[in-house]
Amino acid sequence: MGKRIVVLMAFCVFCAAVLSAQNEAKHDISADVSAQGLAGYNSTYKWYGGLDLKGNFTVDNVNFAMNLEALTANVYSAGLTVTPAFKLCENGFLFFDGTLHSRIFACYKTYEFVYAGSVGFRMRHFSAQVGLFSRTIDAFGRDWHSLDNYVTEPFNLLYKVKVSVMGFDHLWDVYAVLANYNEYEYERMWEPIFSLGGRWDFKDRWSAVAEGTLEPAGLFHGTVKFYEMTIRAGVVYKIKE
Amino acid sequence: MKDSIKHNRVNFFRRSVELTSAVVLVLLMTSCGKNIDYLGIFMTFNESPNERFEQSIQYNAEHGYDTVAGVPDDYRVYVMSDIHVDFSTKNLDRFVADYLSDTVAPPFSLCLGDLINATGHFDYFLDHVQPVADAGRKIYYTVGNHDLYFDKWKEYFSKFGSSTYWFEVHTVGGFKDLYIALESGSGTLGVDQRNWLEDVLKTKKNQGFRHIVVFTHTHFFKKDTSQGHTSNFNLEETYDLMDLFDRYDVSLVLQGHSHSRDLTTFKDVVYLRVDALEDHYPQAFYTILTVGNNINYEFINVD
Repeated sequence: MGKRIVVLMAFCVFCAAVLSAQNEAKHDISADVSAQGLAGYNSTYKWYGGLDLKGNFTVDNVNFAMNLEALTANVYSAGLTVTPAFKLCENGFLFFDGTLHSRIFACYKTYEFVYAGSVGFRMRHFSAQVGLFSRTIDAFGRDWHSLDNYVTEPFNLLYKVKVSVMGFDHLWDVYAVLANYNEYEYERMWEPIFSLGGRWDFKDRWSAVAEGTLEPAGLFHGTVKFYEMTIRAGVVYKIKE
Repeated sequence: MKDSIKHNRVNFFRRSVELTSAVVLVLLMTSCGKNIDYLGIFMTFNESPNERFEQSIQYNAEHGYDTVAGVPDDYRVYVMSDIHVDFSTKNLDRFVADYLSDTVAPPFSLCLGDLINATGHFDYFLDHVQPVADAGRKIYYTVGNHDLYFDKWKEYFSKFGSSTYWFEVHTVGGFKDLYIALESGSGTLGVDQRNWLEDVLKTKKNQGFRHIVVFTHTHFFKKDTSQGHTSNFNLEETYDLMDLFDRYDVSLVLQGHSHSRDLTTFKDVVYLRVDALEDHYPQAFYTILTVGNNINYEFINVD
């Protein structure tokens, strides 16, 4: 019961943050869409490819991000993140992330559902975020009247640190990320995802983006073994600036 | 003049701090961590899961796969995990004594890894389980992550042999049970071991086994905060293995690693995560499986 109250209170605080991040005057609106192709290798599917689609919609200081991913390994994911932000200082913003995310492993007749909440601080060259997420794992066609059950992972730490060389608003940028999640997957606490990426605004409304990620098979008291490597590349089109 | 002296002092102080920090960092990363392989944060020096698997399979080819025959139709399997022997063996000795005093127990028991913590204690561990071998019984092992740190695989392999294998249990009433040991000390089976597992399950599927029991070190689920300090399999591998266990009718998957007990049924496969047997652990238990037409569990507190 206590945990439910905490989740409910966090949800209320989040809703209040979304509302208070709005301007009373005319709204500032921006939007962009993105398409990326990906190629990866891991110790489970071996080689695989895929397609990512992303959409961003910002009203004043509230960002709505939606993302879809389809992999040739017969794995699909979809997520929606709402992020209200508040200016704290000259270049510093406090923000809250609320996310609903799902991955469907059709190849294994299994799916997972994640809800996540986090708080972060971002500046031009730096962003840090910490929070919690809960995951439910279930199988297709489960017999609801047997001992067979879904699995809930109630307390997973969520973290992300991002460092940008030129600043997130510069014409081009190179960045590095250490996190245990991205738009397409939420890994356990000790299975970090290392990313190195870049962006280049090559035309008025167009940007080219690329990102490489490396994922070890867990941090076993520091020792690491390779698990997965992924490369993504694509374009972003700004519908409205 | 005064400013120059002050400046030199500050520089000297700064250089001293930098030098001391560098020395401390090097010491920490090379030798001082008794239970943590700091250099492993950046790179691994020991064998990959695929290389260890190859050695295990080579060992199996030379030594063959066991069959334990003449076991009663309902039999008790003693299971221990996460013993982490350093300088005391109180709980391990208790396990050995209890197992040997059980005169109707079959001549095998299981150990799910993390036998020791630091280097140089495998012999100490073996000395304390020698009575089991002396009684004509055998402990089947699989390696844990602590048995691999500090490049310990070579020593483990020379003393305990293969970490990926199977053996059959034949009962007097004509039932057959299959036990499969998987090596997950690095939190992944690796591609080769995973494919070997599927081949074994495929081959054995229609051979009339009553139960298929898989035992490995790293656990699959992270259901509460008691597993906050431990690494798991990556999720894709978790789902892949669950699918394999489901498709090939595995009855029970035994795991250790997190030091806390959990019993979960997912896709009709039972996943039992057993307690640690480590000395001084506040809740040290070993587990007894009663294997018959069903598999039941008993948890023995050794405190």
